[in-house]
Amino acid sequence: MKDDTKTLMSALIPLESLLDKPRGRESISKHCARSWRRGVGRCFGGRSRKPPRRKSCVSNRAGVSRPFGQIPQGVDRRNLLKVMAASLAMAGAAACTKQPKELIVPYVRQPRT
Amino acid sequence: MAQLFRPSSNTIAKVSIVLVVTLAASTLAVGYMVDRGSWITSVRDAPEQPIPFSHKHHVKDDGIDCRYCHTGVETSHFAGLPATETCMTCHSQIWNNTAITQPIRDSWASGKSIQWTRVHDLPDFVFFNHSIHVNKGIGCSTCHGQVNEMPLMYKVNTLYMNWCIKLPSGPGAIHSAAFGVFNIDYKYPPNQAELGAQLVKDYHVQSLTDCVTCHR
Repeated sequence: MKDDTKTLMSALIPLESLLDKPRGRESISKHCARSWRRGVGRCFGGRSRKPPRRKSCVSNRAGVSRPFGQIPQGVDRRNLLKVMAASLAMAGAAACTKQPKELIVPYVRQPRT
Repeated sequence: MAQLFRPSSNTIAKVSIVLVVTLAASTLAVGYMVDRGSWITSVRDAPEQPIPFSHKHHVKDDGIDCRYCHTGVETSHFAGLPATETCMTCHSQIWNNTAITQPIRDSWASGKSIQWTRVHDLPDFVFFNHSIHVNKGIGCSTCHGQVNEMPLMYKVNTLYMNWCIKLPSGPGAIHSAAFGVFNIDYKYPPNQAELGAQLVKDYHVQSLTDCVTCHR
């Protein structure tokens, strides 16, 4: 159970890839979409032909050079916000539901208090 | 250079504006109606029960008081549901051989409770106390309606917060004397305005509409 969650999480947000080298912006978003689909497919029991490549969903803007000694890139802010916004929206949609049916179960013999 | 748009484009533009506005408005309206309709609120929707218990028969025809079964209503937050034992006080003697009352005898014999479906079911984040309302002169029918006219139990009010808050708590508009509380057919007297005001004073009724009163 715990392992499953871990695998899913790493498919959605490959944390290992934080350590990867930065890539160009376009290829990153394409790759992210691919790995997202793969992750979802796995979620619903779909077969993936080959194990997902560990690539970065993390970017530094290509061509932007950083001063020496500065801490390198983290998770791309835009992608992080996208995932967070989608999660929030879906969590909100879960509230749009009818109140579930509930049972009420009285005693057979009322206790004397 | 030729015109990009033909004269008919004007009409198309106007019509599409009207269509978009109408569509948006009707989507909102339909959403609102579904949200407030009985499919969502379960108002006037009698759920299936293990026994088709008739409040009409027991309250109106037989004249049984609410508190005979709902014993906790004056002392507890929960009005309570009758134990099988309570049903058996009569149904061990009368209607003791019919299919309709079979679940009562099964429950009594097996010791397993009858599982009813809740009709008036407040969300779990709401704290509601029956006893304080009953003791301050709010009659059963204020919220539960004419249960003596219900062959199967259903709710007549949404019990939503906006419904609850809007109940006239002003100068005693819905408060009744003790004898009126459990009388489902109680009609407010013509001098309800003065009587209600007096009752509010006598009962020391406080209008508690702080959030924390119900959401603790």
